[in-house]
Amino acid sequence: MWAGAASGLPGTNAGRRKSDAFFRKKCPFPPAFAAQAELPILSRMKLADTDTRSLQALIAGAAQGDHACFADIYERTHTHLFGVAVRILGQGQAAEDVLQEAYVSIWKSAAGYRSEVDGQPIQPMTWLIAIVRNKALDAFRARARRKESELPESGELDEDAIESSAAPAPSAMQLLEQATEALHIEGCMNALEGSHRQSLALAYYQGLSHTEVAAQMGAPLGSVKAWIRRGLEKLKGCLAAQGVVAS
Amino acid sequence: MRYTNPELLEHLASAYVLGTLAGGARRRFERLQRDRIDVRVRVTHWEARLGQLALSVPAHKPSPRVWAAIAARTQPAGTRQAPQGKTSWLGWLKPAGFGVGGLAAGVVAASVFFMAMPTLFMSSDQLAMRSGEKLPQSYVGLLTDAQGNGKLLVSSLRHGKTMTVKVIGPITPPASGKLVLWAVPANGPAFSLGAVPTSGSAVSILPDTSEKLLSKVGKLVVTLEADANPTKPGETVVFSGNCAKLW
Repeated sequence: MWAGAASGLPGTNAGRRKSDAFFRKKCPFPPAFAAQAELPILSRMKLADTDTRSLQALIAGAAQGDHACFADIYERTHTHLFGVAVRILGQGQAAEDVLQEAYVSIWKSAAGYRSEVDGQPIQPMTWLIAIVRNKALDAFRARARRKESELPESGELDEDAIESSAAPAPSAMQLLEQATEALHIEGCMNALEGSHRQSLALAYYQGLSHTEVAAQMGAPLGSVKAWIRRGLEKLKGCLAAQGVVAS
Repeated sequence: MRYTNPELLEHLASAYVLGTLAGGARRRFERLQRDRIDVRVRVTHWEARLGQLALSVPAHKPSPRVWAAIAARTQPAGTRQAPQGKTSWLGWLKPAGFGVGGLAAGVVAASVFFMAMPTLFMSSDQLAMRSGEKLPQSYVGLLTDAQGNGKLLVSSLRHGKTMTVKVIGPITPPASGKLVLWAVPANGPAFSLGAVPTSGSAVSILPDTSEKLLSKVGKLVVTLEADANPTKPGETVVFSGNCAKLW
């Protein structure tokens, strides 16, 4: 397995973890960039090198079982990661549960983070976002399955419905535009038809399935599948051309 | 399905990370990732691509209960505190007492259980590793600078196809060019093992098992290269060390 193959050697920190965290109260890697966390999100789009390296150091500390480093990671990243969960699940208990599960998972798997994979640098934020998004998608799909089954239990579904109907602003399309602009790939991405971009945005920012995107856009399922696929291929090409992620 | 078609794998990886790969297909793909390092690399690259889009998502603040719940699940009893919060040492001491007691009781109980039935938890090979008699069969290299300061730890399981390079001493990123790791066999030309990171740790896929590649390699060097794909090591050797068989 990935983490096993990568670390190779025994003596993982399961045992050390407790005693280390027990005696140390301050993370030895003070975030010299704490002010960065307060900046509006778009000005942080391209994380400064020092920022990335400091977050890496905090993850390394957490991997050693240092809970103070883990608390610093939470302090620095939780509002953004919660934003990702809220986009998919809506503000409420479900998103908070996902955030909780995600950070427990981050704590447990900190040693599995790699700053580079097969020549591709992996920003710590990328790794964190992937963990949260996966958990949010799982929760979203589980909710959809529950809704399909006949009767709601103790009004739970009504609550969910309220959560997701609290229409999140800005729209998925606006978020995609903001992101592509900040990544300087808006010109490249705008070569795609609007419907392609729209379907990609709905799938990514709302966590919608092919069927749900098709229903929302009033388009045939087959077309939506093809649009999303083309959207992903285009995104890959645009990012590679910009040197953000190699193709 | 045999999953040998690179295009199909790339499509599945992108759909998995986007979230549109659902249901049974999603579960199957997760299993495939666990078994196949090349698939995992594709997924990681897609996480890096799509993670860029998440940076435009507006931040949200969760309830403070979330951190409390995370801390309760990740922190050993007795050291719980709000992130960066201040607690008086007296207040800290009391739960710490319970923590020490609980920890000690837990360690005793676990040890007894372990000693009584070690084979319940691991194979005899793992047991030997755990008891300190042996380490897993691996190729290991420790590279130092000219002054003998440890800089990089390179490791790869003997029959594995991944290599981990961990930065263990501060490395100043070169102003231009990149640092490349070379394997130097006793008889034969040196061959490249790829670029090395300047912080954190990186994992990369080897073209073959390390047994095939490294069995005759005695030395490892890192050179500074201006060329993007150098075919032989340049003049500027930055770090060097021996490649050892750990068995």
